[in-house]
Amino acid sequence: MSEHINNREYRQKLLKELIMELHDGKDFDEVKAKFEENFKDVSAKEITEMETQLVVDGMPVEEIQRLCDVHASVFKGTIEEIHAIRRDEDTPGHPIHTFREENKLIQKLIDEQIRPHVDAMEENDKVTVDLAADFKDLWEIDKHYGRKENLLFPYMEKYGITAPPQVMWGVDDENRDLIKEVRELLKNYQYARPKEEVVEKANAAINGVEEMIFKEENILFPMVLDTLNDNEWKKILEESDEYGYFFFEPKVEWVPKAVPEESMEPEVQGVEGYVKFDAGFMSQEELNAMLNTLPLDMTFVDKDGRVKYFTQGKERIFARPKTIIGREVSNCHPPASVHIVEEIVEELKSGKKDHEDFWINMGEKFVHIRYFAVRNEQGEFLGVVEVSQDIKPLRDLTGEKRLVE
Amino acid sequence: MEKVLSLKETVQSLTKKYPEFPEIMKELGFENIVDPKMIATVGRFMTVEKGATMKKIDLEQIKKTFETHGFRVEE
Repeated sequence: MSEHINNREYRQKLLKELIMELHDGKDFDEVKAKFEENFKDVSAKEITEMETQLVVDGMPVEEIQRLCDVHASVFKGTIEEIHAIRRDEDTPGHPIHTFREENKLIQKLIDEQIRPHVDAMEENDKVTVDLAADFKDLWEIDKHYGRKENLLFPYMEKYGITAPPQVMWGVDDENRDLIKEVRELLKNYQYARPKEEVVEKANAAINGVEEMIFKEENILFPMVLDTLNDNEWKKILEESDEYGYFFFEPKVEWVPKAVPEESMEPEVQGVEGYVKFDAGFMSQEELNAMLNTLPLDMTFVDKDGRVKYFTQGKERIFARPKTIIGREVSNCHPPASVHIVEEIVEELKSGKKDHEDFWINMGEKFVHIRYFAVRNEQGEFLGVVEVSQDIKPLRDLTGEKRLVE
Repeated sequence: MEKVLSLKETVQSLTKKYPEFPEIMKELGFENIVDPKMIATVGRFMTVEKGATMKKIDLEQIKKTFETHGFRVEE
């Protein structure tokens, strides 16, 4: 029979026969032996083709699904090995591969160190030094959570998946707090000796961390794999190093397949009035309103010295009539100060300076006026932006007001 | 029509078939499940079995509760 093995069509026909025999209730081991003899190197692709052929031949899809279970057990090793190579997320370097490797390391830290140490602590408290080191290591989970929250979640939100990230971020923060609390308790241990409290909090922390691993592996990862495209994974990959990893150095073997640009940012494509930035995009309406909301006044003068734009903040420091738009800046200043203005512009334009700052008292206000040269990525001069702000309220600040006390 | 609860079926699919499904799950302690946004997203991947493991809710208790609501539970 082996002389026929190179014949693809024959091979597929035989494969199909074997599956049908299985389906008809023929002895499992007998079929399995026949399979192993003939199909040592069968590829998952061929099995998929065979399934497709069976459907084409008129077999109901439900029957195929039943078959899947049967042949999966026969072909187990073979299929799993092939699938492992085929799937992007199982290739080192894919962000999901990295997340999963980290989860394994987190679980290992819990199983091999933290749990034994917490258990030992219930007997005696000599292990506090070990436990302190364990929780110092566990705190590195902050990097894993950070990548998830800052790199994965924004893409999910872009696709309208907003509720799960919100809930998950909250739980991440609870875990962070628990880890911090345990570290704090251990630091002050000599004095307060709150043994039961340490054990209780440590258990709560590792339970929380384990629960999050389960959620990520079973829900989050399948969901994002189903949603994000390769360009998005590539961006996540590129930004990952900045956040760091949980004791893991990803080897980048994964090469994303290019996805056509139009599928990347569907809501921007074809929608007029969007302005694209180095990071993100905004509608003209959002951009205008945002600039008017900033607590400062901005005026932009282009490279030819013409006023092109100024913000419409609620409390303007210097009056600016809209009629100055398009006028040369030298015409907008009193003759006595024109030569100073021109000198500043020249210095910014030539690259001699990047900014020039002034600060003056104006009644109740203390006004900071700054002129910046605006240059593009190639360093070419595009114009000058004037930023003026009443910094009296800032100068008056003392002490601190924190988001979380 | 016979009501069947398959422990491996997704929450989204079960909710489509049985509108009362999320409320029963909520009674059992799965508070987030009644949120339609959650059903539309997480629900595509969440199953009763996974939920029980995650929330550490006894699977036997879940089976019993659904049986009292007239479901046949399928492993």
